[in-house]
Parts: sequence; structure tokens; C-alpha cells
Amino acid sequence: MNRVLVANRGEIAVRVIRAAHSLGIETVQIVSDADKDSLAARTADRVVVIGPAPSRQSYLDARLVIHTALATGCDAIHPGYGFLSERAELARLCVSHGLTFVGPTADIIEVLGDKLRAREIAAAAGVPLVPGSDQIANAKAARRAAKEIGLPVVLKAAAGGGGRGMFVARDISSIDSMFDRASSEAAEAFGDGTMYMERYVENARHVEVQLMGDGKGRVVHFGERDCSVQRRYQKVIEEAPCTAIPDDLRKELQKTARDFLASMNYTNAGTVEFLYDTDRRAFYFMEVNTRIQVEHPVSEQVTGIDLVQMQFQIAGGECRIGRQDHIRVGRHAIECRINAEDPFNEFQPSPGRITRWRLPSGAGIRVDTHCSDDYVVPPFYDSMIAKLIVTAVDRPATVDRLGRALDAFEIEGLHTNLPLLRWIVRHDDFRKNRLSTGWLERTALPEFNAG
Amino acid sequence: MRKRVSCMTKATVDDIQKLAELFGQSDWTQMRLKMDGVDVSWTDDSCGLSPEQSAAGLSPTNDAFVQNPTDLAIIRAPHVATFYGSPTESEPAYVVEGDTVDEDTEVCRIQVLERFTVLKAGTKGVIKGICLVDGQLAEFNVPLILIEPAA
Repeated sequence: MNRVLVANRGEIAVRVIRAAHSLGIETVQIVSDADKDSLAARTADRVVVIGPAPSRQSYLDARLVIHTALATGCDAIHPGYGFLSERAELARLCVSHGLTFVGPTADIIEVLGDKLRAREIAAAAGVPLVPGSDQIANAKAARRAAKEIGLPVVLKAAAGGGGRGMFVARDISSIDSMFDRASSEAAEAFGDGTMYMERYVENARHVEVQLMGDGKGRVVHFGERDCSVQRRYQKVIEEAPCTAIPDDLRKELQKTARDFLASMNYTNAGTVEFLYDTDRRAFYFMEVNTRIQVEHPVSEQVTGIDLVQMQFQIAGGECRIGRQDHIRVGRHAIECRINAEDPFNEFQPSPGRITRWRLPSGAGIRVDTHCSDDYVVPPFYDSMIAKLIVTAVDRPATVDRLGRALDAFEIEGLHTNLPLLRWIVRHDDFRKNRLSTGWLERTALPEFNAG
Repeated sequence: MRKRVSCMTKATVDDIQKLAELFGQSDWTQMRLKMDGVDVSWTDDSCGLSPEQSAAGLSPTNDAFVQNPTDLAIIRAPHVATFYGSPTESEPAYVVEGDTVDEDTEVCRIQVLERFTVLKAGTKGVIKGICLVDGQLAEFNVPLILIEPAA
């Protein structure tokens, strides 16, 4: 692989460029008009402005991406996360134009992108599922399914994923209207109104396993991550390992994820997401993310392995997946997503010019970002401006180090969620790891807003 | 007129810098150096500007030019695409400098993968400049054709 086109923006584009350069691979960065002066644009070997600011006319236009890759002599494309990474379209166009897609095959992306189909495949492979339904045809079927599964339930869009298209119902009377609304919203958002239903686990943790495959049946895992601190299904804090599950379950989780992907001859990076039912001490398959993820750094920190570099090596045919027992998970790492939003005002996005930017530094402190002093955060894209990843010998030491690092992080010129993050890290529940996916919204935020 | 000259067997960085200087001093519009380990192209994109405009640091890809255009109407790339000045390789260019055009005159075509889009002048006037050469990648918003609108 000689030259890769980076089909993304922000911090992940910078991350991908860094990994490519470390392997001697040249980089071509595509940007929208709003990102012409971005850090990625300045770091890449070449920049091409492909369209105006709106994502639909730039980062989401697969044909422009492919055309640019071909015209600039690239032999590969890295899709990052979000944008085109979750669609088979870009992967397929790569194949038909002789480009290497740094990620799984188009078929895998397509099949696992259909969440209902992914559940079927998981069930067939013996992976435990959240008690749930097949496709639900109408409101009457929804009511029937809810009675079978047991309330509360969550209605999910088959074409959704990543937390989108989900609706929780706690009583039978609301099912009818909720189903109709959910289905039409899904049809509009994802082009497919197919719904299914699962038991809603009240006290759950989001536990996921990071894996890599070579496409020939060899898959290894890099440990699990606990991503339970979420707001509206968006992760805010992630950590590795998950110290809240017993060791025997941890090993079972890792093995299940690994066997599952191996059975599909999975290629490149992937994450199998599970719901851990704390009360029942059981884990259930949720979905597979067929790309490198935002929170990949915590797994890198506890294993010492550069996952994005490995993505390139696998895609280039140079990487031989080694032995599982050569991958050691040691120490603890926690990542905070720092967003340009106002936690005191409904998390309204807060784009604008950064007037002060001071990063924490020191042992075990890593910041993945595309921002700097004087940078203007554009209003067109998601609000994440940095990831602070802190590593230490165990969870308590990491939490302490994280608190100090958050305090030392100075950002002025826009609102950020730093005040909330600093508050969370000092909360007794967080320090004692008494967390669940509902914790931030149901317990923490009401307290934060009251204080 | 295209000339191919073969005399070098190895190019050093100094050679390439020297060639770049010579190109700049010449009236050539395009030059390509291709040999083992080296493939370099130069394009003159002064694009029909007067020497005064060029001297003022104005160029079609220069922001000042864009902000202080003369009275020119500028056809810009609506998105990244490969530029072609003629309908096919063997046919002559859609337009050349000095041609009179009206709103519907086809002035160039742009390509994304297998799809071609023909762009039209959109105004009555005279062609003042063609900014890219055939096969060149045009970034979003880059000037492609300069037209002096009719009074």
C-alpha cells in the first residue's frame, strides 16, 4: 500500500494520517470547504477540497471520494468512523475500482449493518441474545411481542444502530402509538421502517469487545471496554477493562465475540457490543460495529498495540494475526469525549473560535484531537473536539489521574462538557464504578442540574 | 506543440529545481518529467491574466483574485471533478480564448467516475481564460472558465 485516501475529518483523520505515515504510507486528505485549514489538511501529504461544508455534499458522497482517490493515485481508502464507514456502498465502490478498503468486506458491512439480520446470525452462531422478537409487522404484533417478552421493552429499527431508532415502552397501552410513530420515523431516517423488539434491561452495562480478523478465520480480541456512561445512546466516557464483571464472564464474553467473528471470516477491525444485565449476571448480543471506533484508544493503551496501524497492515496483506495469548491487557484506561456543547443549556452545540487551548500532559495522558488555539470549530459536524485518554496501574489510580488531567485541560472561547466531566469523575458512583447505561441520564444529570 | 526530450539519466533535487525555474521563465503551459523514481508535472495557470494581474500575485487559485475579480463571470467546479476542455480527446476544444458565447454555449465538461457533466457559459460574453488543462483534477469551487460578460 503506497498511498491512502483519508475519507473522514476531525480527530480520526489526524489519527489515521499518523498511523499511515508511521508505516511509510502517503496520505491524501479529502476535505469539505469548511475543513480546508484543518489539522488533517495540514498534516496530510496532499489535500483535495471535494465539496461545500454540508456532509451530504462532501464526506458522505462516495462517488466524489472514489473519484478523488483514483485521480490522486491512491491505492487504498480509510473510512474512519461514522460517515461512509458504516455503509457497504463505499466498500463496494472500492472493490469495483480496484481500491483497497481499509476495513471489513462490503458483504460483512451490509449484513451486520442490518441489525435484525445480525441478530439472526448471532443466534445461529449460539451467541446469547436479549430476549426479543423477529420483525414486527404492525402495532397488534407489537403488543403481542411485548406480552411475550415482558415489559419494559424497547422497539428498535432494523436499519438503525449506534443508538438511533430506539423507543422504550413501559406499559402496554403506549405500544400501539409508539409502534406507528417509531416505524414511520425509521422509514424516514433510514429508508426502512422495519422494527423489532427486545426486552429493555433496566440495570445494564454496555460492554464491548475489540477484535481484529485476517479474513481467513483468524480473529483475536484486545480485551473489552465498558462504555456505560451515555447520554441519549451516545457514549461520553469509555474504559478498559470492564472491572464490573466477574472474570469468568469476562473470558466468556471475549471468547464468544471472537468465535462469532471468526465464524464469519471477519476481516480487519470490529467491535461486538453486548448488554450486560447486572441483575441477572448475563450478557446479551447487541450489534457489531464494522469499523474502528471512537473509543479505540483505551484498548490501545491497555494492550500497547496501535490498532489503526494494524488496520493498514491487515488491509495491505502484511499482517499475520498472532496468537491470542501474546496480547496482554494490563493497566487501566479511561477516555472522556470532550464536546463543544453547553452542559448547562440542554447540551446545545457550541461552535466558534477557540481562544485558549491548554492540554494536560504527563505520564499516562494522551489527547487525540484536531483542535488547537485559534481554531474555529465549524457548526456543520458533530461536536466532539477532543478525546482525553488517561492510563494508570488500576482503576482508582486512573480515576485520580483523570480528575487532575481534566482540571488541567483549559478550553476557552466555546462551551464544553468539561464541567460535567469533572463533576462525574468526582462522583462517588463513578469512583466506585456503580454505573449503568441509565446512570448519567437518570441519576447524574438531574443531580448535576440541581447543583 | 509537444516536445519530448531525452537526455537525462538521473534527476537530482537540484536538477528538478532548475527545471522548475526554466519552466517558469518559458512560455510553455505544461511540462512533465518522467523517469525512474520521478514523475513530476508543472502547469502554468496564469490563465489569461495580464502580466500586471500576475505580478500583483493574482491567480485563479488565489483568494485575492476570487475576492477582487475583474468584471469576469467565473465558471467554478460545483464539486471535485476531472476537467476536460473538449467533448472528446480527438475533437477540438469547446471554446478558446476570444470566443463569443451565450448562455447555452457549452464551455467544458467535468467528470466524476463514469459520469460526465457539460457546463454552460450561463451568460453572454467573451471567453477570457481557460484555467485548467485536460485531465486535471479540479477541486470544489476552483475557477474553470473566465468569461467577460457582454455589456
